[in-house]
Amino acid sequence: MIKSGFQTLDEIATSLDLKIREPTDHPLDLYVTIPPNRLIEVIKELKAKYNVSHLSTIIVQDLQDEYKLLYPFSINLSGGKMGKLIIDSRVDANEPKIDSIVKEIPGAIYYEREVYDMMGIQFKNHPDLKRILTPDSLPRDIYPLRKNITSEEIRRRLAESRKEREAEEKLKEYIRREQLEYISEKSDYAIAIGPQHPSLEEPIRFIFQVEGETVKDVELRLGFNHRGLEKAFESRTYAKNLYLAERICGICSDAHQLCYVQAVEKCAKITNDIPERAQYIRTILAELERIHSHLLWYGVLAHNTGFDTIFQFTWRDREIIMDILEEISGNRVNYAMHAIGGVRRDISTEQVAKIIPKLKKLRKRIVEHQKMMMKETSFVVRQKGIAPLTREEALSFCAVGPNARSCGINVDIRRDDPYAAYDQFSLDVPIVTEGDIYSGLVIRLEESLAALDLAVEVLKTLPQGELRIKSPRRIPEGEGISRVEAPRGENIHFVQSNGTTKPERIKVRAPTLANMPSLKKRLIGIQVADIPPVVRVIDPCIGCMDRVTFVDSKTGKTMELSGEHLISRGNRAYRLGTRVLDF
Amino acid sequence: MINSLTNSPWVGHINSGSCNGCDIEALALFSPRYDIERLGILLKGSPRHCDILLATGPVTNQTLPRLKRIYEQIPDPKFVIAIGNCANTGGVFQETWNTLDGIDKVIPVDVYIPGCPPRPEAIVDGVIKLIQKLRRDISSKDEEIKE
Repeated sequence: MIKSGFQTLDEIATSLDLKIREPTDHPLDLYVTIPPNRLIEVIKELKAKYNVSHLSTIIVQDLQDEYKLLYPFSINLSGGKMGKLIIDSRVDANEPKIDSIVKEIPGAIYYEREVYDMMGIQFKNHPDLKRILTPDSLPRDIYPLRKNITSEEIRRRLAESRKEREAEEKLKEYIRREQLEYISEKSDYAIAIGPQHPSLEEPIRFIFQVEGETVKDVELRLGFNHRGLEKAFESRTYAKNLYLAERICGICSDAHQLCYVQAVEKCAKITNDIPERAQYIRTILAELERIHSHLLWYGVLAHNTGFDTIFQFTWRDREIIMDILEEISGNRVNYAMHAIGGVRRDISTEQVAKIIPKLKKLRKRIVEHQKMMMKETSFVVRQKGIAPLTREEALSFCAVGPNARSCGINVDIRRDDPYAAYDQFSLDVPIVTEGDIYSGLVIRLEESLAALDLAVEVLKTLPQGELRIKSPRRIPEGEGISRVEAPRGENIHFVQSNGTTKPERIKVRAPTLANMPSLKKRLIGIQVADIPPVVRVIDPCIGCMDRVTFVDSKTGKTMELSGEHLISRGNRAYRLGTRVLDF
Repeated sequence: MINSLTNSPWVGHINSGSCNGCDIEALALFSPRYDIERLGILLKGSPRHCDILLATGPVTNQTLPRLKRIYEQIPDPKFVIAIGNCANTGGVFQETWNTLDGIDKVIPVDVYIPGCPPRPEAIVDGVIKLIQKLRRDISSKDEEIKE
């Protein structure tokens, strides 16, 4: 981390001559307003003077006559903390245009596309301003998050357009054509992977342009899983949204719920009143989830590289953590533990006594997995030096979480922007500098051990006290932005309340979207056989390699290859010695 | 033909926009604790190899054509199991703008497994119930023929 001598965000804002919108209660949050035409200039200054490179997301809100755009930048402050400087810029609703910042912040490429897609704001000089999340069948004049259109209206229009499309063309032919049109003249093959695959969090479609066995270019199609949750949040009460937030993702459900709860608490101005016991229980849940997610990750990585023994071992041992989570919350996935103002369930002394030995047993197992994986040369050689990302690239693409830490970026929201009870404990944040798949594995293994130790420590020091405070049903008008270190990295939620029981706007940015630009960079230049493990490295939940279609560009013939075929193809390539073993 | 299917049904899996909770529970079936393979049930990557489709998620507009296509690719006789509340009725995602509230709005469903997400045991139970139902159907048909 770059150490700077700047005390507070206020000082930085004053030195750049930025207008502070209003003072906040949180020393690590600061909102400043600037006119849209100054945006690029301010970002350039921030980059030059304060080494700012990380943009968390772009939040956009419809205020009827204008659009509010918020750019939360991370700034390293003295004392090892990381502040959020939130730039507020308004554009006129009649002419929604703003300069693109992709040149300054390459990681903003998907964020700008998302804003364009959802709100219809044009970004001047954006390299590839296309829709990103909405379905192909959505009529082009609909921008779903605008306030002048309701969910029912969009549903009705979508149903109409679906009928038209089905009448117009046979679906099968349509999809086949869609696959074929990706083949460019430069490459031999276009390989389309996805969107449907067993156990994929966000069904994604990759279109690889390959020459021989080398990937030359890759195009992503996101949004298969887009359910329109941000719109749905606006029509439900805060209490109902707790359960919707949890179901953004089934693997980091706790991280999303916690992040949502914290943002609402900031709006309600009760952040500092949360009971200590609740904070500790929140920490325990977050750490347990981290362990289960990391175990799942390296199990599937092993499966992707053909080392199925480890896959079975990790999934066997993952059940230990699932049992603990079930013991605490009553459910294996989607724990529903958090409430606005605290937590819903207690962890009793008997439960603590049961959990700690289980965690110790799991620790031994993880060390065992570690030894097995590190000793297996055929497994290690498929990862060392594959698809490396340099620190500078990771910084410019705004990488987060283990993906960033494996490239030598010392960032961890738990330590830099503390929430729950993390400021009470000293955190062990492993950093590796190589940036290849292997360092991603090392990071996750070390993190799961550190998370285990932390969970035991928190359980042992669990303080007595209340579980939750009463929260108002109507949340007073305000803005809350909250960050959580989910297993996959920085997760950010923004809540705008308007004094009623329902929020005005909720924005969610999950860590996988932040890691997409860097994944794209990693994929270029690798071998086809390495696609599964490289896609794994950012942890897009579970690998997406079970159904791959190869399209021969000359004959237009398609053949389907399953994940097993790909794995055996990869293993064969290695047996034949296409890569020199460097041990 | 159905008779031989009941001995070792091969299953495929499709996520039509779920939160992934049901999907990891479905994958956990193939891990050592639940080990559904001991019952002869194998997970297959390609729909062309499958007898039973395990479908999760509330069906988003973007996955809709894919869901239909994958269903069409499965050879007859084929059966569909909808896993989770949102695959059954839309669940918490009801009335969001981009979902269709359930698998059965698009393709016929034979077994519904509720739960958010259902436990792996519940999913095994659902598959077994389907198999038992098929066997009952077969045996009653056999009797009809004899009569």
